Amino acid sequence: MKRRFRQLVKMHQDRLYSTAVQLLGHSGEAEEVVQDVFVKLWDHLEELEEARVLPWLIRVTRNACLDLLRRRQVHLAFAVSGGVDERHVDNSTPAEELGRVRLRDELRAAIDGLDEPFRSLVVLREIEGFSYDDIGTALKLNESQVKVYLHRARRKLRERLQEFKVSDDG
Amino acid sequence: MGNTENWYEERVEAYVDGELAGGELRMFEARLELDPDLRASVTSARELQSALGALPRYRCPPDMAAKVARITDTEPRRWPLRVAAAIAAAGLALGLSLGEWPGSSPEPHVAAVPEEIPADELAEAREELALALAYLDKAGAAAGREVGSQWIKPVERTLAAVEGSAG
Repeated sequence: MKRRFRQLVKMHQDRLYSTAVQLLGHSGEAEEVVQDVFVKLWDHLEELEEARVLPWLIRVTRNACLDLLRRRQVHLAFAVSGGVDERHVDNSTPAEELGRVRLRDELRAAIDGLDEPFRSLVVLREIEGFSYDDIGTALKLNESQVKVYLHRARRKLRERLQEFKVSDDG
Repeated sequence: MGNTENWYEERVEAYVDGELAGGELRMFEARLELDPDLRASVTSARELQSALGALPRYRCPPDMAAKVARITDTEPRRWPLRVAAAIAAAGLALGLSLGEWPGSSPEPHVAAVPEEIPADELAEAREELALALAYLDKAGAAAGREVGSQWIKPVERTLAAVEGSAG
């Protein structure tokens, strides 16, 4: 069982951690959440069939994050949280980089402004790339509901980005 | 927004996601050639897809694996399993000794449920309840008694009602 547990941790830890960071906006809290999730996995591993493990992990991670957010009462904005360590290197000019950062911040704010389950769906599908099937099982939605909710979420995000582009051009 | 516009938007997203195929794809691309509004919608959808794709993903801190590996130094907490088994066994023994099984399915009683149930607690309760029901089912099968419709369904209805009230 230890071997199976370690394989599962290795396989899923990065995406679960990244999901928690996206939902919480804070790396320290995300780390605690993911550790707690793995403690629960260890306690329940024997009962979980292979196919149910990932949806179970997604559900428990999301629930823990939403619970933490409810307790916190406010969503920490990524721009001011100081809790997320982002590193990337590219060859863009400072102006291009500035434009990209502003677009990213705007998009992040737009995602954080979505209600549940839209916000979680965008994070799980559009950012972390989990399958419709795993997301649907985790959130107890069928595939069609997942797609409809994602469609509505995307529309809101497009509208928000459109407004941003108009104000940025002006 | 009307249904037609929704349908139109959904096709744009499906096209950008690479989910259109065959005749539907050919029709869409033919229309794309002729319709500047459709091209603008596709461009907008691609911009969003690209912006979402450019958001950073995060890797676990390097010491996470070691911290998590320590979890396996302890035995899994099995108390919910034991409690569930004890409840199931007690229920079964009671039912068998009295020679009675609940004949009717009572309406779910959710008045005692706290207004605010943390989602993770509810999820855990759901997992543990599922386990208890599985034990009950197994124990019933071993005793040659059909317990599913009499014991499990009312509990599942109650759980659904609790989830409804918590949602």
